Amino acid sequence: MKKAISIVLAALMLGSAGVLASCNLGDYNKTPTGDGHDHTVDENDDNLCDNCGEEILAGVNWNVDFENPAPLKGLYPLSGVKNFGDDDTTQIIEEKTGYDITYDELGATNVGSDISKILISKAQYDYMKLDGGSFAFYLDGTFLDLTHLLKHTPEGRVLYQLIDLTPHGWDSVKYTDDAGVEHIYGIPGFAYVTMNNTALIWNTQHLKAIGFPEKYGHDLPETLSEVDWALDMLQNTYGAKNSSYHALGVPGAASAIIEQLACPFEVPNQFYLDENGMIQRYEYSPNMTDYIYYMNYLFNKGIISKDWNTSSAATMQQLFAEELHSCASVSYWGLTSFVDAIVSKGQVAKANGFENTFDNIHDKAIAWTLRIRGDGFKFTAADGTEVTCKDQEQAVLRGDPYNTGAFVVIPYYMRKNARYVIDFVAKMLEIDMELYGGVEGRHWEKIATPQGAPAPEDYTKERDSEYSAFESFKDYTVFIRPCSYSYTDGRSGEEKLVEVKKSGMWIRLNERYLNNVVGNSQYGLGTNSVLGNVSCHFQEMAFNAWYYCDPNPAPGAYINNPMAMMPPLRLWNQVSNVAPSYLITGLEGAIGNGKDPMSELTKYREGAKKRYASKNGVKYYYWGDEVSNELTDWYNANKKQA
Amino acid sequence: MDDHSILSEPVSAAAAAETGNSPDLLQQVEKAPAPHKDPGYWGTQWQRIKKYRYLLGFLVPAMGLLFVFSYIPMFGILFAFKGTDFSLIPREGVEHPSILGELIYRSWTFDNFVAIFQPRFFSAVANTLIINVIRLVICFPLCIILAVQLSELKHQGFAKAILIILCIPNFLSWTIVIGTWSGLFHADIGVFGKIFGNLMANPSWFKFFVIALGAWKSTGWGCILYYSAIASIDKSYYESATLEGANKLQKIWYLTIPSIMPTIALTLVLNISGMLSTGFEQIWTMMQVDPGKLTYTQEVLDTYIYEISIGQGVSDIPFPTALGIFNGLIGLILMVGGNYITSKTLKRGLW
Repeated sequence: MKKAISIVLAALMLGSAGVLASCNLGDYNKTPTGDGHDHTVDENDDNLCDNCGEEILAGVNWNVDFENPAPLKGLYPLSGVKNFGDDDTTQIIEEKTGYDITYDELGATNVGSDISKILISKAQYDYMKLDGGSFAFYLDGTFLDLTHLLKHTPEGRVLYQLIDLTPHGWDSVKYTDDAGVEHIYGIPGFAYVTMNNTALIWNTQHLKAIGFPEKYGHDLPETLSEVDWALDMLQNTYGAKNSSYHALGVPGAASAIIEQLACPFEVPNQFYLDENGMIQRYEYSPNMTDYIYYMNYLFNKGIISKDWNTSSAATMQQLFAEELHSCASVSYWGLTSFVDAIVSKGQVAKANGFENTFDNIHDKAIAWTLRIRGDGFKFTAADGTEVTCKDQEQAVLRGDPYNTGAFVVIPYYMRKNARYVIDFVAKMLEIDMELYGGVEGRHWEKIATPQGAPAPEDYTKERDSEYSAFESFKDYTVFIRPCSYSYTDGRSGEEKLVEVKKSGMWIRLNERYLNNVVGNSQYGLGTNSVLGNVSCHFQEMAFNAWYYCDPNPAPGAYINNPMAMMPPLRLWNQVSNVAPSYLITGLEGAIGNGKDPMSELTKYREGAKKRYASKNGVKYYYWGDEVSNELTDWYNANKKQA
Repeated sequence: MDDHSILSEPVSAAAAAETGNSPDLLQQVEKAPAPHKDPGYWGTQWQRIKKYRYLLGFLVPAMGLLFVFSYIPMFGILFAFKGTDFSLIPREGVEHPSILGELIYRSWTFDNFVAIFQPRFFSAVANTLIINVIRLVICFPLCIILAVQLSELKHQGFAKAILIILCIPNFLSWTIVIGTWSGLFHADIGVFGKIFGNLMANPSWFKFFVIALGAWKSTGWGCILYYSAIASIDKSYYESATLEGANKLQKIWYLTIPSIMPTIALTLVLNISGMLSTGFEQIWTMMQVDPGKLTYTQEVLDTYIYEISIGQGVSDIPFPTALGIFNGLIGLILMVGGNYITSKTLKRGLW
């Protein structure tokens, strides 16, 4: 028996070795080809390498019929749109582009690991719309290099120009290899214009009750001194009666940076250049230190709740509705639910004696401040440090005119339909205005110039505010700013001038727009800054809040991110998700540390340089010289002005 | 006289004549069965297999599942030895990556094991051990004490009712339990929070709540095993002990506890072998009470493994695999060690 078992085991081992040896390992058995020549030179656009005569981008279908394009399948981020992939917008897209698209959405969480699984299983998506973290797979050669297609195909040239209308448009998807050759691995989709994402919402009745308008001559605080006075008075007035009252509502630790309070201290936007010309994280900035001191100061006075960091937008809404907050930091997208919560509770209307309706609460009970100006306000921090905010001529906000919000990529294994994908995305950009702005007669109607408004043909950027004054969130009355751009249509060879409207016009949005087009940005695969100015304005008119888009930012009105439009870089990408959340913990801890905020902040600042993530045994520090050098090199090569 | 010695030699007619035995008898003797040979170990096993083959057939599906889903995947252990060029994602140059190909052609390294030993790992292990040792010291005897107390109640129907009530928290998910308690300790709206502040968000109190809530939730369920073991003790022993003059405590100490010692030994060994696991769901949910303060300061091994494999956004297979192997080895050592300790001290063990 022993002999029999031994023979069986030996046979199994030999058999396994034989199976292994004979296994077809596909790619692994291939020997390198070529003699190391540049395989991308193609002077005559025939998609054959000029050096070796072989096909460039083997596997791509070069013989395409754009009159009868192949159906495509696309993967999108979670949109939150009802019937995504089967609504009015998809019909417009099919009508205008001629492409039959099948839409799929990712989940709400674990997007990165879902993308990994999708790629490993070689799911049949012709293109994917990804965020920056997932786009970083390009570093492993996962996505098709589009450089050749963009340079040597008619549709590629169209797409290149349309994206190039945005300054630094292609920077965020460009990778330079060790040989200095640039490769483009994706198509960027931009946030349109500088955006005002959040505001401070005030209970105007509370402000009246403490005598703010009488003291300062206007209804809402405009400087940091006025904010501080108002918060102090509110806390002393209402907090004395109720220990659960805190004047300022903060919706959790993720909102530790309240824009309106951070900007008087000129807190940098994500990154900043230090005195040595090195890129550093904004958490290390001295301006951030001053801001943390101020928030700690508010915390110690009870103006912010002791549990602010574990709160949420929903809790904050509820507390505001119960008049346990008088001021709250609210996002643009959350304003409607914020007002709904107040209406639902009914307490604010009852306390002030007016009818409890959405419009009344929206117009009479609350008001918002987008910007707070630094006026040299001084205070003494908990550890005795004297802190002074900046003395600013104009209020500033942190924002960027261009920011890549999404990346459209073609998985390498799906390169067969690459030309169709490029053509489709180019056509989507060409119908941008219809996509985000709707179609005349279908989503909006032209109307006569409102009485008293300047004539459309007299519009200039300098007179923009005169036209804004006659726009109405309630009536959905919008003034379409004139915009145009030109490009060479590579397909026909013609010069094309795209005019949204030569001289501007007044329109009114209808219900179909409000119900449908507002979500259209989820289908968007990119835009350019010229159209963005116009189309963003359409969408914000449906939200009945403040002006979200700022198409004409005044000089110096924004603190820009020096690394805006940065592609995922190898070192930073490994920790770009965890490092910011780790450092925000330091901000949160410092704000909530009663007497010694800086010890907590210093602990996390130093900790980020020691803590690391590991991948395949390689350490990637959350922050430190390695990452700073990598970012600074990119900045010097791409963004630094002479 | 040894019969075998006679029967082993062929009997000739002359010998038959000499002995006086008839030829028929001699033939019968010649045809007698050969002496019984010892089948040996393997032979004995084979005979047993043949004898119980139908019963063993019931095991085949389970063994098949175990082999396919537990043993074959162990092949993935090899991932722990792969370097930075390992990837299962199709890419330029390797359009059809296969597990076998990556294992053969990508670099082999021990870097992943070396990378295990970093400050964050030691901190996570320390937190894990602190929590589990305290649980072992406090919560483990608590189940036994509770079972003994319930068994001593006169009205066993009442005891069973109490047991059912105590088991109810076990059926609540950790999300509900922690959500409820964190609401009670909310600084603004919680009953306890207004008095004590939000202790659940305080890193200094984190371990206390982990153990306390764990005890509250699982003690009732944990004592069922001991309660049923106590119930199976022969009542005549207690009667004898009463006649001998033993009081309640003496009966418990000298009769009840020793009788359930096998059960105690088994659960003790299992608890010791699980010393490196605190229960991911409970810890992770409790950290969400204040993720900023608690996630980085109260990290345990389970949450650390989760963070490095999925949570930190760095797509990685080799490093978490290496950590999992290391964790498993430590668990094995703990199980063997725990069994040795219980064998020596309690005279009982798993083997």
